[in-house]
Amino acid sequence: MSKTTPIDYSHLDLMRVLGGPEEERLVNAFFVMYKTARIVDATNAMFARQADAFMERLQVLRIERRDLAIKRVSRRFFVNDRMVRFNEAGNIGADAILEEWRLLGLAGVRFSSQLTRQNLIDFVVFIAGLKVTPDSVDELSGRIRSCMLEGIELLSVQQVEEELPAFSDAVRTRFRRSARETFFRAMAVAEDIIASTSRGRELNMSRTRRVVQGLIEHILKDESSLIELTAIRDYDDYTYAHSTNVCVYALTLGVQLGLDRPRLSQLGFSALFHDVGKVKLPEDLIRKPARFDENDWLQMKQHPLLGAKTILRHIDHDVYAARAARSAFEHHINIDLSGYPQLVVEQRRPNLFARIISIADTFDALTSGRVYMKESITPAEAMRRMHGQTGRKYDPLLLKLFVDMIGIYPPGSMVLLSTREVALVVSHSKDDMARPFVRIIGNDKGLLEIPEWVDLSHPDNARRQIVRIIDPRKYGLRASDYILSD
Amino acid sequence: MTESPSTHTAQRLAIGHFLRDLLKVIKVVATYPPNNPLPNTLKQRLATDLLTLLDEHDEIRITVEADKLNWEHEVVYFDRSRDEALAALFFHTGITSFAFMPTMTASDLSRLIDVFRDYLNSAGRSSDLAAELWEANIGGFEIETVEDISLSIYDDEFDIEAYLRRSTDDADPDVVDSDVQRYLDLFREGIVQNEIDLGDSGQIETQDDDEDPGQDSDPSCGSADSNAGLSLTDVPTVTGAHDRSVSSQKPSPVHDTTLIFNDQISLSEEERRQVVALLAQDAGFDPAESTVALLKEMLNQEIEYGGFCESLKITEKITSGLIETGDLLQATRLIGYLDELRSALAATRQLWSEKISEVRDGFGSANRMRHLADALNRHSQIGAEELKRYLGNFGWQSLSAITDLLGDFNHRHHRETLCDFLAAAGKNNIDIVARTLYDKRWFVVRNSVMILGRIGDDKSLAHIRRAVNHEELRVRREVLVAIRSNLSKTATAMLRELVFDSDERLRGDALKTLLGRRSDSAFEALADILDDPRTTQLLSLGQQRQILIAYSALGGKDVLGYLKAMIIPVNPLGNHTLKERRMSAFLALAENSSPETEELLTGLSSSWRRDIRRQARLALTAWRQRRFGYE
Repeated sequence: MSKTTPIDYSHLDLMRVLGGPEEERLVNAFFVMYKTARIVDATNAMFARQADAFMERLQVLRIERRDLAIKRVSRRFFVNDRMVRFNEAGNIGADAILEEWRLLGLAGVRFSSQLTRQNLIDFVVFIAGLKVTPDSVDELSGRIRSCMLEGIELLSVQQVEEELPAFSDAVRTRFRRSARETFFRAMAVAEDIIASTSRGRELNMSRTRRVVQGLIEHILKDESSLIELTAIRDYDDYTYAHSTNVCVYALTLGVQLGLDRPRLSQLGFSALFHDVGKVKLPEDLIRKPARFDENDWLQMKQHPLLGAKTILRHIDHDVYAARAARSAFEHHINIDLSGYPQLVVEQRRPNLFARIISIADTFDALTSGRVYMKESITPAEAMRRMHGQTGRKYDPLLLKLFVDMIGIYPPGSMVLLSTREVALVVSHSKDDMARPFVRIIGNDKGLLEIPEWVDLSHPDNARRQIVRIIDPRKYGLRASDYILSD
Repeated sequence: MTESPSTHTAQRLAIGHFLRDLLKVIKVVATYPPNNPLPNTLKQRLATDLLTLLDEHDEIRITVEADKLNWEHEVVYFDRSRDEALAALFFHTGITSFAFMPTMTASDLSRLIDVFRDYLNSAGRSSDLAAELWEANIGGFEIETVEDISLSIYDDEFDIEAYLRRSTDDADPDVVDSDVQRYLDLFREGIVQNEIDLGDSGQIETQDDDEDPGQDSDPSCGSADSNAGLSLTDVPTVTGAHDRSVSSQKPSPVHDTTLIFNDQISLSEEERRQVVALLAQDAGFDPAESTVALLKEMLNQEIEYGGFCESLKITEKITSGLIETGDLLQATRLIGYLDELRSALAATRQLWSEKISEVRDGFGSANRMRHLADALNRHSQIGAEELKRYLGNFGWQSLSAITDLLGDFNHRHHRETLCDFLAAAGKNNIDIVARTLYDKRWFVVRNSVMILGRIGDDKSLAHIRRAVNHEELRVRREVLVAIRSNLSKTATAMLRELVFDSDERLRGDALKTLLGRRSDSAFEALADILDDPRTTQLLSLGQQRQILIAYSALGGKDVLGYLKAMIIPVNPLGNHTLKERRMSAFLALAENSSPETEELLTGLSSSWRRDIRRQARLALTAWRQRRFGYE
C-alpha cells in the first residue's frame, strides 16, 4: 500500500511556514558550536562565546516560553514548524555531523525553557565527543538514551516525522496552484520582455523583479513544483517557456549555492533576459522548423552580442542591467573560452551567473528539442552529455550541483515502472534519487481516472521500480495534462 | 481577561506615535551624512520604543491604505501632507500590509530604516521599495504586496491553454492526442527490470563513451550536423511525422544514467570550499567595472559599421550614466579606451575612427560638462584625484566648456582641482580662461584670478590687472594672493594700485607685500606712492614712514635730496605732521646705505637748529651702527 509521504511544510498559511533570518542564525549558531566542541575543550573561550551566542539566539526566538526544536528532514531544517535554509557555506562540516546523526537515528534536538547554559555546554560537549561509526551505533545509542540533561531532548527520525504536520491534499493542491501561477506569470513577463524590446518600448523593471522574487520565494520553499512545470514542452511558442525554464533552473541552482536574496534576484533577472538578443534575429530563423545550416548558425551566434546591446540600450544601467548584459554575452562562451563569441580584448572566463545560465540553458535546450536541436533527449542523457563536457563547456562544480539538484528523474518526467505502470515524477527524494515521489497516471489497462500519489521510497513500494524515462509524446500522452492538474 | 477600552486606546496611540517617529527618523537618516551622530541616536531611541511596543504585542500588523495606516481596523496614522506621507510611501509601491514581529531587534530596525533611506535617495526613484525590502530580508519585518492584483494581468491560470498547442497531429507533427493504441505500445515494448549493476564496489560503472560526446552534442555549437557523435540506438527521439520507426527502436538502457549514482556527483569538502570561494569572488562583482570591460569587448566584436555605431552609442550612454552616478574612474577608463581604439582603427577603418572622435569629443561639450558639475555637486565623495584624471581626458578643445564650470562646483576640493587643471591646461590658451573675468558672478571672477595667478606669466597678469578694481573685495583680495609671489614689474605695479584700495586691511597687506620687495620696479612704485596725494589721505603716518624708509633703503644717494627737502623746512608752529615727516626722513636716512648719507648726516649734525642737530646725530649714530657696527 502506498503512503502519502509527509512533505516538509505545515498546513499553516503558506506564507508563514518559512523561517526568517533569526531561525537561520539559530541553526547556524548551533552547528558552529557543535563543530567547535569537536576541536576544543569546554573551557575554551571561543566555545564559551559561541554558547552564549546560541543562548541569546534561543532567547530571541523563544516566544511565550515555548520549547524550541531544531529538526532535520530530507535535507531541510526546521525550527519547530518553520522551515529554514541552511546554506552551502554553513553546510561545510555540518554534513559529517548530520551523517552521524543519521547513523544514530537522530533527526533533531529540542531545547525547553528549563535549559541552562551549563546544560547546553555539557550536552554539546558530550554529543560532539561521540565517535560515531557504523559499529559503534548501538553502544552510542545506549549512551545517548542514558544521558539525561534537563532542558534537552534528542529527537528520533520517527518523532520528528510525526511532529511535522502531514502534507495534506489541500496544502499540496494550493502549493501546486501557487507554483503554476508564479510560473506562468514569469512566462508572461518573459513574453513582455520580448515584445517590449522588439518594439523599443520601455521595460517594466519593477514587475520583472517582483515576478523573479515570486519564483525565488517558491523555490525557497520547494523547488520541485516549479521544476515540474519546466517539463511542459508543448507550447506554441517555446521562446518564453525557454526563458522561464532557464530562470527556474538557474534560480534553483542559485538557491542551492546559497546566494543571498539580492544576487538571486539579479540571477533570475539575468536568466529571463539571457536570450533577448534573439529578438534582433530574423523571425523565420528563430522559427525555422528544419535544422540550422552553417549560415543560420553564423547568424545565431550573434545573439549574445545582440542581447548585451539590447539590455544596455533599453535598461538604465545598474547592477541588474550589468549582470544581465554580461550573462547574455557570456552564456555561450564556455568555461574554457572555446565557445562564442571569441574574446578579443581580454580572455576573461565567464562569471558565475553566466556559468549557471549556460548549464540551465543547455539542459533545457537538450531536453526540449525546441531551441536549437529539433529532437529532444531525456534529462538523463542530457546530463550525461553535459557531464562529458564538464571542465570544457561547463563549470564542473556547478554542473555537479545541478545534476544533484535535478536528480535522475527530474520532476515532470514521465517514467515507466516495473509494475507496468506509468507515472509522472512530482518531486525527487534527496535521500534516494532513484525513488522519487510520483503520480501513477495509468497502467497496462489504461489511464487512471484519478491518478494516485505514491512515494516510491517508502518500503511498501519496494516492488515498484523505475525502468526508464519515457517521452510522453511518443505514446500519445501529454505531460502538461497532469502537471497542470491538481 | 479582555482589554479595557482605555488600554486599547493607549496602545493605538502608542503605535501611532511610533509610526510618526519612524517617518521622522527615516527623513533624518535620508538627509544627514552617514557619519553624523544624530541619525544613529534617533535610530536607537526609536528601537527602544519599538521593542517596548513589541513586548506588549505578539506582533504589530499594519494595513495600508492610500493615505492611512490601520491597526486592528482602526486608523493609527494618516498622511497630513506630502511631506508626512508614510502611508503613501507604502501604498504607491504596492505594499498592502507590513508587520513588526516579536523577533525584531534594534539592528533589524536600523537596517529597515537604511532600506528606506536608500530608496528615497535613489536617483529618479527608479528602485522598487517592495523589491528592496524583500531583498534586504530584514528579520522580524514582513510585508505583503499587491502581487495578486498588479500582476493579475498575467494571471493566466485560466488561459494557460492559450500557451499550449491546440493543433491536430496532421497540422503539426509534434502534437499528439491521446491515442490508446500508441499508449499501449509502451507496454508492448517490454518492461525490462532494473539492470543496474552495482558490481563489487557498490558503484555504478560509467560508459566509456562519456569521454567526449563530441562538439555537436551541444546545441550551442556551430556545427551543422548535430547528429555527429550520437548513436541513434541509444536514445529514442521524436522527429515528428517523418520518422515513424522510432517505436521499433530499443528503449534507453538504464545504465545511461548510472553515473548519477556515483559519489562523484557529491561535492567533497574541498569542492564545497571552492563553491564558497566562487561565491566570495562573485560577491566582488562591480557593475561599472564589468560593463566597461564588456563594452570594450563589444566594440571589438562588431563587424559592420552600423553595429559598431550602435555599440558606440551604447558606450556613450553608459559613460554618461557613469558620470551621473559619480563613477568618474570608470568613465575615465572608458573614454581612455575610446582613444586607444580610435588610434588603433585610424589606419584601417578611418570611418570608424572618425565616429569614435565624434562621440569622444562630445564628452567635452558644454552640455556634458554641465552634467559633470551636477554629478560632482551630488557626490561630494568624489575625490580630487578622480576628477583630475577625468579632466585629463580633455584638451584645449574643451577648455572653454571646462572653464565655464568655474562657478558651478559646490565643493571646495572640486573647485581647487578644477583650478589646478585650468592652470596647467590654460597656459597656452590664456584668453579662453580669461573670459571668465567678465562673468557677473564674483566667485567665478575670483576663481579665474586664482587660475591666472597660478599661470603667472605676463599675459595672465595683464588679464588679472582688469580685476584690480573689481567691485567685490574678495576678488581684489584674490588678486593680491595671485600676485604676491610674482616679482614681475606688472605685479609690482598692481601692488602699487592695491596700496590705495578702499579696504584698509587690503591696503595694509598690499603695502606689506610691496615693502618686502627689493627691485627697481618696487622703488619706482614707492616713489609713485610718495608722490600720490592719496598717500596722506589713505595711509597712516606709520605706513608712510615705512614707505619712506623702504624708499631710502632702495634709492641710495638718489633719494638724499628728497629726504633733505623733508628735513630742512622750518616748522615755527610745531606742526605735528611736519615734525613726523622730519622724523621719518631721519629714520629713512639711517637706513640709506650710500656713503653720501654719512656726509649729509654729518653736515646736519652741526646745524644751528637744535632739533635738526639732535635728530641728525641720532640718525648718524644709527647709520654708523648699522654700517660699521659701532658709533
